[in-house]
Amino acid sequence: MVLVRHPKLVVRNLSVYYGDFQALSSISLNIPSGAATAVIGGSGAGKSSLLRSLCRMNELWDNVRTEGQVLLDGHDIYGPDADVTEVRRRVGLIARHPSPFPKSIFENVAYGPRLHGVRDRRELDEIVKRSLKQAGLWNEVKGRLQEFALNLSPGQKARLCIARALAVQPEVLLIDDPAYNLDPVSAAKIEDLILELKQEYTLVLATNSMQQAGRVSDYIAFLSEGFLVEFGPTSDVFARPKDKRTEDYITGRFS
Amino acid sequence: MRDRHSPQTYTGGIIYSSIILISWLAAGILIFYVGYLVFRGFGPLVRFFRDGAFAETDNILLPLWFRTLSLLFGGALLALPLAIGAGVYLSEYARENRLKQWMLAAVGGLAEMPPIVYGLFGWGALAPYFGEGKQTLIFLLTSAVWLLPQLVSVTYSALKEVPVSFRRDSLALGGSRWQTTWGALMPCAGRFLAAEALGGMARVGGETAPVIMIAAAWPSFHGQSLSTLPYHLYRSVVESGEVASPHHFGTALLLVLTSVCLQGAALRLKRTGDSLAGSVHERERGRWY
Repeated sequence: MVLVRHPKLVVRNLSVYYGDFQALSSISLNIPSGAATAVIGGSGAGKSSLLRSLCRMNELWDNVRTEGQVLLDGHDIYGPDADVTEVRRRVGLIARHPSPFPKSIFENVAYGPRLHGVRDRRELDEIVKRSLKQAGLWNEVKGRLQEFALNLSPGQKARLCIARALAVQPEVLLIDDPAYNLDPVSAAKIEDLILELKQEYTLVLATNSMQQAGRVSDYIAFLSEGFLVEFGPTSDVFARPKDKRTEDYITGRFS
Repeated sequence: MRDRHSPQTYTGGIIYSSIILISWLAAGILIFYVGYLVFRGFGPLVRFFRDGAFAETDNILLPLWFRTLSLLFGGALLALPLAIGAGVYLSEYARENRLKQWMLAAVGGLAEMPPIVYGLFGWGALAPYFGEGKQTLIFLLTSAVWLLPQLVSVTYSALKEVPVSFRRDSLALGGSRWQTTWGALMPCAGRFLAAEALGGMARVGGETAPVIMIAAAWPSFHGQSLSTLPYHLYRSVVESGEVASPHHFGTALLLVLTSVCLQGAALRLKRTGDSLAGSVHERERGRWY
């Protein structure tokens, strides 16, 4: 296993089953703190399953079974004393299709803090402003916070969902296919945002874009058919892949 | 090139014309019926509201109208909390198993039951229990029981209609199931639910069967204390034995207008709900991820 000095998340022998189908097979990796880790792999490789497993969102399926451990700062998030809502607050997930709630821009961002008991209007104002600034959306929406969020452009919606996740002050941010369905300009803004966010947060991104993974990530985990094929610093994996399957994938020679 | 006079074209043309003709015929019958009602009932109704009474009857229409509305809203208010609770449980908490399927089938079956059966419940179960003098309460409870399965079914369907991404994103922010249901789902589903409640009230408001059944519990009772517009119409026609009078048409028109207003409000609410849920991409529906 690649040595990571300060792992935020430690994944040990993680296997995920949907009924009889095994989506992840005994995955073990250390996700470094304060860095961006890109999870790459073909369709059905298990990228989204891995992300969901890191915040216990996979439990929303009726027939899912998870084995192994995921340690967040040394504590097993699947342990008997783990509080699932607290785990999800600390490890935020931004799904592939960003969907703001059918509420105002303000209410979307304030939704999470309200769930966790923040009622003071001034405090909420501060949180909304800070989160929108972090997501790079403040200047575009500051004069229309009460407008309906579903009227925003797809790129703005994606950033609003990031702001919504940041508002609960997570420690880890999982982003599934951050530029999915976005035009190149909006995708570039999201990438810039990821580069800024990784200064403050531990990021895990699932992406199908090698270029994007190369530009924004510090570490890369390559999955194939539910197995972890290779994990290491992005520069090493791209320059000197250890496994033939990794090399084939990143050079586009996959069948 | 296809021959314009081929048999297929002729057959298609005839079928198309027949469908159009049948549609217009159905619409024509409805328009004639409503037009006739308006023609016969509008004048008396205007006179009633202007003068305070029909020429040939006492001033009873307005209290009847208010009583009808209050019985409808009362029944709905009694049924709603239970219906929301049961619908939320079935949609958000109950596991997918046979028991849940059985419960859904039972709720669906009860929702489709003819109103006379609910009237029988009021007559056979509630009337002996509460006794004479509590007819209004019996009718309220009967309406509530009648509305309950309809509203449970609607709550369940309305919650299932909300895009799954709303649940997923709320839970991903650390919300509990209850917080998610209340904060993310109900604001969307609530519109559908309110719309269906109004539609259900319009249906209940137009029914006479339960009132007749409850009134039948006491032969001396003529249903005055719970007389609703349709029951009043029925009773005045049956008991007077006279040919249809302006009073009858005025009452019927008021009933139709009340029902149209309730259904119109329901439609308006539904459209708002559609535009909210429709704003989310179709792929988001029915998937956790």
